[in-house]
Amino acid sequence: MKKPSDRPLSEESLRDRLMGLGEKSTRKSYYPQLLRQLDELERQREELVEKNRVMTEILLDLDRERRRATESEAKLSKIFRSSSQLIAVLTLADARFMEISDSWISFLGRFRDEIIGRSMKDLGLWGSPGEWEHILEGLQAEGEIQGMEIQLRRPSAETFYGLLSVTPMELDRVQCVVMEITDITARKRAEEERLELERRLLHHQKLESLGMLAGGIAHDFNNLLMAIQGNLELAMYGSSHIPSVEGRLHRAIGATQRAAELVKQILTCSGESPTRFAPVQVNDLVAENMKLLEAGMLSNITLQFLPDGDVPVIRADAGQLQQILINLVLNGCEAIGDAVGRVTVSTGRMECSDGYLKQSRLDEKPEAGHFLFIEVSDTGSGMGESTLNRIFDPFFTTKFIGRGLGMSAVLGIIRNHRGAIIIESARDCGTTVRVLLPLPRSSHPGEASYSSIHRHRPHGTDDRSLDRPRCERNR
Amino acid sequence: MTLQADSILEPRKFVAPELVCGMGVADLAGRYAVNYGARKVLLVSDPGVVQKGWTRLVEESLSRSGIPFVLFDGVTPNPKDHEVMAGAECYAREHCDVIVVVGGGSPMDCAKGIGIVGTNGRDILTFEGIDEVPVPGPPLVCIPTTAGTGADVSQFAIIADTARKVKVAIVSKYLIPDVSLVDPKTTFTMAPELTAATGMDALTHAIEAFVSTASSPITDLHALEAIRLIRRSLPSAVESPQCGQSRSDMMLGSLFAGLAFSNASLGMVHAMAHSLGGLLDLPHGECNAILLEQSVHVNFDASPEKYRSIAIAFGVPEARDLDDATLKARLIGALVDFRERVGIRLRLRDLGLRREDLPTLIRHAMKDPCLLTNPKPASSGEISDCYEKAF
Repeated sequence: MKKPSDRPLSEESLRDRLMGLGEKSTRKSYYPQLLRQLDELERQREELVEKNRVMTEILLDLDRERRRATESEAKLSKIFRSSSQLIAVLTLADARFMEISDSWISFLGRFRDEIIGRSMKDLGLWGSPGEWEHILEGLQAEGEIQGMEIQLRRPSAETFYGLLSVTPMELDRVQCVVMEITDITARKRAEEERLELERRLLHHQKLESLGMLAGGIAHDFNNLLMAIQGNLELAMYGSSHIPSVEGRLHRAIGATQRAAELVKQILTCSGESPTRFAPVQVNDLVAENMKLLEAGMLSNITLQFLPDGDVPVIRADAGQLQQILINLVLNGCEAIGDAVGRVTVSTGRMECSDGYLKQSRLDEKPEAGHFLFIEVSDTGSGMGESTLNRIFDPFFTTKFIGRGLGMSAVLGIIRNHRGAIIIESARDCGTTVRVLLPLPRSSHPGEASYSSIHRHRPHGTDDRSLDRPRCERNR
Repeated sequence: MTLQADSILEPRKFVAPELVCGMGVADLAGRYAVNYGARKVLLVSDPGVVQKGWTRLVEESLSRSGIPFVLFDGVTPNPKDHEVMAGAECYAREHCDVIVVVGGGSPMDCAKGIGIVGTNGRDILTFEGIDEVPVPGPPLVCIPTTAGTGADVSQFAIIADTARKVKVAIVSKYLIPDVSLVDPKTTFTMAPELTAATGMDALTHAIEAFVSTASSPITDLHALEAIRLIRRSLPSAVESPQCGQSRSDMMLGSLFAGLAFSNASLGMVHAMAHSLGGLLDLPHGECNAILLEQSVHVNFDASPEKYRSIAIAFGVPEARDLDDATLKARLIGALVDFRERVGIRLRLRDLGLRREDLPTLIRHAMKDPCLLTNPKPASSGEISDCYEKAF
């Protein structure tokens, strides 16, 4: 007989089973089976209860974790957002904003929604093209970037200087970078200002030493000239009957006089010539000199005077004003050269703001207020930036035979009159020089008269004059 | 291993199903299905019983009780393993939870097999042996339609292993039906040949259980009473199929024989008959009838007093006083006469047995669990001798 269990059973035990005396020879009953199933059900129930308990704990844990994560995320987000630094998460590929700190909102003057999803390029932030590629190269080489100096453009087109740090990261399976920019614009500006001050100090020192040198020589020279001139005049008295001698002496005296003029000029530009203030009617002064200038003018150049009738009498040194006028007109003519052109002189009065006066080429800026102006504009070749920066340096000249003292002297005269000089020029667009002389408060006409503004536009002034800061001229 | 009549009472057990006997009790099938909590019944039967109308009778009873059912009647004599598996498949597919079987030994053994396959989910042949069923089958209601098999009360299910061509004995208390509705009415339609074969089967059960080494006073009562009833009623049941008295007596005789052998087991006759049924699909009752007298030859001397009691119950004249040898001869003679009187006169060769099958038959018989309780350990020579004489 085949046995399910491999152990063969003895005849004795088989017989016992057959008689119903075996261990399992019980009457048919479902009870044991039922109990087993009940036990199994109970075991399963307990298992389910335990599993349920574990699941509940897991769920509670998860909930706690989630809440902690949310809190932590909120905290980090708050730190991130509220940082005064410009912090952003950008896509690596095209510098597209994914997350930004609130500082970006005020920096760009846009809402968050308008920034997220757009790129640095879209927002026109790069100071120069190819900047991002440059940053990516740095990332490739170094793994991250720390403290790299960059220039960005503010929406106002102002340059923004920043120290850049970039660290790669992955956000939502997108290759990104965390970018942090520290604003160093103020530091940068302060540095520039310091450099400018240094430059100006240096320039001033140079002028001072030149002035001292020139002034010293001029004094000695002047004394020598006086001695020569005196002796020449005495010699004239004693030789009045010898025409050939008299003529020579006369020419020698003329030469000493011209030398004295030159010395005076040197003394003026070094600020050492005395200024004699007296009432001057500027229009009369200009008109008088125009005749003289016109006489010596070449035919290719038209000289024009556009006076304003309302120019008051001011206290000034008439000789020095004349010197200014002649210098400026001659410079204008020389800028025109052989070409056909026009030099226009105009006068008037205007109100100037501090902002406008800041453009003055003198270090000492006068206070805002009402000014009388003498403006000389030409249609000549104009000047480049480098020439403009140096025209007031003594002995600087662009002319073959110039002495380089004219503009330097002009600057000295205007400084003595506490005025201002503003030059607008560009290559091939002509030059306009405006000399501003302060008007005393008492000479101001009634405030009401300012409301009627008449913009005087002399011929030959191009449209650039429209771009000038507010300047009003009274009739 | 022999049991002495005057020995002290040895441990014995008696297990029987709930029994309801009497004319018309087959109608109670529906009520019992309800009592067992049936939601759907698998009704097992065979084509012969269906044709006789007894299946219909049970169907009506189930319908009256409002119990849905599905009929499985794919059963043949000497039920086959694949028939059991097909029935179990039907049981599972239809979500049945109670089995009602109406028919002879074959449908009843098949139904027992379906039950344990249904609850254990294993192939029927894996339950071969004694107490090898882990979980009992579903409630089983038996309505026997033959008087003889005893399957309606027994712990046996004999299934044919068609691959090995052997009958597999599955013995388990779990196979005992929950209730047996023993209704003589269902036997009225039996043909005389079937009446004779099943009757001789019942007689063999009674005699083998009585001489079994596992017999007990309780089984002895049933066995002897079965012998008396069968000897008195079988010939008239064969000759007068409509004789209610004979049919009722035969039903009781078969029932008692069944109770006896289910608890005391059997002997060499059944071991040899199972072998024949497995190898050649021969009718079980006739094989038993032919082999019974041969077993007396072999076993008489192991338990002469038991055989004397049998002879007395069987009405052998002067059985109390005859010497053993004479008694043995008289008893064998009476059994031969009885067999021939009920119409079984064939030899094994007439049933289709060939001489070359004998070695296989002997080998299978020697392994049958029924030999465990034979009055004496039977040798293969003795088995061979029996087959030869019955050939």
